[in-house]
Amino acid sequence: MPHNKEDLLTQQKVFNPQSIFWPIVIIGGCLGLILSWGILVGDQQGRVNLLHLLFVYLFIPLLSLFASIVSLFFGKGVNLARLISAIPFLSYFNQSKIRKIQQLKLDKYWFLMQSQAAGIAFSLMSLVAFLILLLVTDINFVWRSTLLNASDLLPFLKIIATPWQFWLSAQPSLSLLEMTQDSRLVDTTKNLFAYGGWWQFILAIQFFYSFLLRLLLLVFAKLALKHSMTLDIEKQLQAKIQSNPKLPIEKQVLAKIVNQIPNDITINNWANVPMGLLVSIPSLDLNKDDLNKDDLNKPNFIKAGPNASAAEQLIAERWQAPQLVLVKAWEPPLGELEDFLQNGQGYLFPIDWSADHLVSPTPTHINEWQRFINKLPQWQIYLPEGL
Amino acid sequence: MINPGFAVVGHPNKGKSSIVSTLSHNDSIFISERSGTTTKSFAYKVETQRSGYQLFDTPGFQRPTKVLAWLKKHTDRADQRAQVVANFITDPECQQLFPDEVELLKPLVNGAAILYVVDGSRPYGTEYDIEMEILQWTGQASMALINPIENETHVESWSNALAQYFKTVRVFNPMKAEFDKQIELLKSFAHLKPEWATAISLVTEDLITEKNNNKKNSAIILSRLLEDLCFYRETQKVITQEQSKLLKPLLEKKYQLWMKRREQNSINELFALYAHFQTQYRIDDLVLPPNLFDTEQWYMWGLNKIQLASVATISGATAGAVADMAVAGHSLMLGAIGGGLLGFGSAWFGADKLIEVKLKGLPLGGYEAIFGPVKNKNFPYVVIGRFVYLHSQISQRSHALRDNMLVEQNVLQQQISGLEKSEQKTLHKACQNLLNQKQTDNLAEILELLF
Repeated sequence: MPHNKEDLLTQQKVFNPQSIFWPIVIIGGCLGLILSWGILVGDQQGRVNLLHLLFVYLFIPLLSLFASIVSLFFGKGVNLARLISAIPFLSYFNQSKIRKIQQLKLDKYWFLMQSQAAGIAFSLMSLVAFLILLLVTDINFVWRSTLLNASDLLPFLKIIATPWQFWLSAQPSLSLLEMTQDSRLVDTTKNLFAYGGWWQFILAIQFFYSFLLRLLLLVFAKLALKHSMTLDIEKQLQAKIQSNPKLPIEKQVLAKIVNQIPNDITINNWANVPMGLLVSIPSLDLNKDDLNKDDLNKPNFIKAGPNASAAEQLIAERWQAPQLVLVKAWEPPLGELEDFLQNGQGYLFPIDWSADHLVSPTPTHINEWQRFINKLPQWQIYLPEGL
Repeated sequence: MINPGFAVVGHPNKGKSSIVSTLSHNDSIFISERSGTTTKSFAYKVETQRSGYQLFDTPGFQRPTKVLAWLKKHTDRADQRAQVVANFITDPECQQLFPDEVELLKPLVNGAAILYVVDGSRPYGTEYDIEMEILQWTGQASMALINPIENETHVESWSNALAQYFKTVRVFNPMKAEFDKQIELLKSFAHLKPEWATAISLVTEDLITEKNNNKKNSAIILSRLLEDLCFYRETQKVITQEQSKLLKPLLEKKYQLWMKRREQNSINELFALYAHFQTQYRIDDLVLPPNLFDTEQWYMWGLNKIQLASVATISGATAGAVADMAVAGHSLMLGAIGGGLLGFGSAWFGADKLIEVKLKGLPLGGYEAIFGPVKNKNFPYVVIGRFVYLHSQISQRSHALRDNMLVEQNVLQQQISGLEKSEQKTLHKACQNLLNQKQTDNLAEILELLF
């Protein structure tokens, strides 16, 4: 099935929807590196517009995150990964995977997960670019605005900085804002050291709004994907198949069947077989005259079982000589019969009849009696030839 | 809510376990031609969305004559009979002498209703009266089920005999009982105890809902199977065209094996959907159309010419864009546009040369032997026909059956002609899409109409 690591039947590796699709992640990382590097390099004086950075590290991630979530719940789940996967050569490599996730109705969560992985790569590579440039060059964070002044901007920046209030050096301040306000017409190089003062604020924005939010959404997407997979009907059925293995086939040991019985053997009519049927069995050596006689008066004819009287039962239980016990072939052997047979010896004769004539017992019924008698070594199954 | 319970009791080998298996939709219940295999009472919970009930599979009567004698010996008053039965099951001596009867009477003493089972294909005998009399002693609500195991020859005489002991007598063959019959029987259970009526009613409603859901899920399984079979292809990259042709038998074998096992997988799921886990089946292999083999050229990373051109265009455009960025956009995006065009042109016109180029001994192009996908327009219908036919067999199959199932080929024409014209058109379009390697979003919904 699609969710196994390997399809044992075909020995082919199969797609695990929870795995990360690396080309998308690499593209996200490259975009992060190129975009951050491009922006952080700044102009010829190394000036980087703080508000532009806010746009790239705050506004774009939040907007794309918002769009992903809205599209997830109210749309087709459009996001970066879905757009990237539409690139022809990527879709070629990914064709079967995407078809499979669409088939499993997992595409929304799958693309969301891949998108967040790409977003994290974007964020990490942005951080890498930022840290490298901090290390090897002087980045001068400035801000410019025609309409806003420092006191207008401060409340907005403080709201942005709310998540890392514990990180004091990454908090915006009015003095820093005033010192880093730039104008292209005025020389503003008097506060040289202040221009680097925003780096911790920018780092925190990247970490909290780009990296951390994406990470949380990645965890959500992964859990949602996993949950959707467990709800998938085929997944559930496969689990049921695994938990219901095939039962072993029952082994049977059958007693042998004999076709001969001693002459003058005592007949025990356990099943209350009609006498009219019994006289038609030559091996029993009964004649039609016996039909009207009292069975108990015959020296070789006894009766036991559920249809016997207490007196008949008592005689039968004390009978020591070998007996031929007549039973209904279709009725399974009961404990009552087994109890009775424990104390005697002889043959068991399963008889089947329809209306007033004998019929051959079915093999199924005979097998049942053979299994039963196999437990009682002093007894054998008797079936006259021709029956 | 009160949870109803029903103990299925009777002579050994009269189909008690089969009835439990059928009604509980559980084919793991051990059913044997050998009598006395059930030695303990076992409760099978039938749980539905909103309700449920219990079915007790019990051992058959083994020593009814002696048991009735014991009961009679301990009371001759009707008002004490139920209590004497309760004493019987707790009596250590009885537990030793009559283990089967103790087990079968346990659920009845605990409040379960009686479902007494007899074989309607064999004649009634007076020895059964003893069993019925013992059951009467429990004082529980009861119903008799005549199971015509081989035929219905003696159903009438049994009905007459059972009517002496049971208010309700029904004929129920667990091996042949289709879903509607099972629901009908379940509904009749509601009459045994008025306090169980609501629970049983919910059970039957839930089972009907579940059956409809199963149809939906069957359509989902089929839609996935159909897509996979229609999209699948086996491929192998080689250097020369001759090598690719030599691979044909191998690819064909792998392809056929995959297709066969993919279909088996879905069939197993269909069995599991209807809770059939023990059924063995035999089905003819899918007949695959001929001429599925083909050879294509490939270039770097296994791309074909168009894909290679796309990659080169994107790469060129990206490189150009980086250059545009480096000059802060003063190039008016000429870098990106030029890079894209250059990439496309070099890939498109230089692709054929790549086949001859080797990088550290490895070729940058070659040939690909391909087996599949199926393009034959009848193929989707063959797959659908087999599956829909199987569904009709499995969805009606009794859980008591333990024989092997032989699946014969079937045509879809009947089901398709039952659809409206617009539905037929939608189905044909979906099948055509599959053959063109295009997915149809609502394929399962379209196919559901056939179930």
